[in-house]
Amino acid sequence: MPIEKGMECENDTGKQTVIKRKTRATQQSRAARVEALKAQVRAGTYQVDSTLLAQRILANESHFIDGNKD
Amino acid sequence: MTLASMIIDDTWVEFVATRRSTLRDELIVHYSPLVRFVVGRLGIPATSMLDAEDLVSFGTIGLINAVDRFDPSRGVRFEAFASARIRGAVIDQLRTLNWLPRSAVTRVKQVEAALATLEQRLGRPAKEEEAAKELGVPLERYRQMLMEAGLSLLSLDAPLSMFGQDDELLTLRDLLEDQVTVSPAEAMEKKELLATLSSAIEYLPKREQTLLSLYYVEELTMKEISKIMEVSESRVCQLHTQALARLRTTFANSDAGTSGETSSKKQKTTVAGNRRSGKATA
Repeated sequence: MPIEKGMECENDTGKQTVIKRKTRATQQSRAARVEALKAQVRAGTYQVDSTLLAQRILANESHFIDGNKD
Repeated sequence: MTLASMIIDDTWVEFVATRRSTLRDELIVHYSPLVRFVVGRLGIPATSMLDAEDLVSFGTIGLINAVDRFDPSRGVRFEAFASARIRGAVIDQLRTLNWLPRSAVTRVKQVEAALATLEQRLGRPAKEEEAAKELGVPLERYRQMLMEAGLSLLSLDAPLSMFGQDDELLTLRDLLEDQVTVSPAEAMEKKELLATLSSAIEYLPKREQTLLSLYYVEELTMKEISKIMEVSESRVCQLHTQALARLRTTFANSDAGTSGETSSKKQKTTVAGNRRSGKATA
């Protein structure tokens, strides 16, 4: 069925365009955030909240709970 | 709630009800940037055998799997659910390609032991040169060991196949106890655990504190952190592994001989017990 194949092709191209657009938009907003954080780190104004960081580490790294078993 | 998130919520509802392939495709396209983000946070350096696009392709398999398996009624955010599967798919593929050295686990233990010995002897966090000397290897080899060790560190999001089990897409997070209904005793234990880790973090060199915060709090990728700290991506990966090794050492030392030991042991037992019973409570 050549028509259906052609339609699939068109859909795939459309999807790729959407993915590229979304990825580009995400990358741009993240790049701006990275620049802002870089400025803070350079200026020495970036503050580490050790309690919040501990919470995040415990939520992500199981070896602090489970890894000392050897 | 934004219009975009309302639309995607509607898409989920319809997809769950009908399982239509066009809706499935829409969801995969919508969440595709997540793959690149998760792969970036894994900190796997590109090699001549494997480039970033290969890793994204592996991760996309995980995303598709996540879309097929996600159950919105469980109240878990799709991004969190999919991230585990994307990571799992990448790690599984790397294991299939024999890319992850199993000896890396030994490296973690060697590095941790050296850091612990030095810290006890010096009364401060050890420098890299000192750790390398303690291990009897050149600095470059020590850094290579950190890179190899970095990928073997287990994570809540890692699939249980890393523990040698068959249910490859089930993660440790899936087996943990329900965090919503915490008993007063558990809340107290969690508080102790947090306080211990928080103190250990404050004992780290400032640079490593910043790096960990950029990774875990700001949720940046290794590449983004490398831009901020003006070092290479692989250097960020090394420093990340070293910081975690230091924390594990300090954490384990301060945990022993305090009430935290009971707390930690109890949590280990809970995880192991749930794993045995196959209980999925997350």
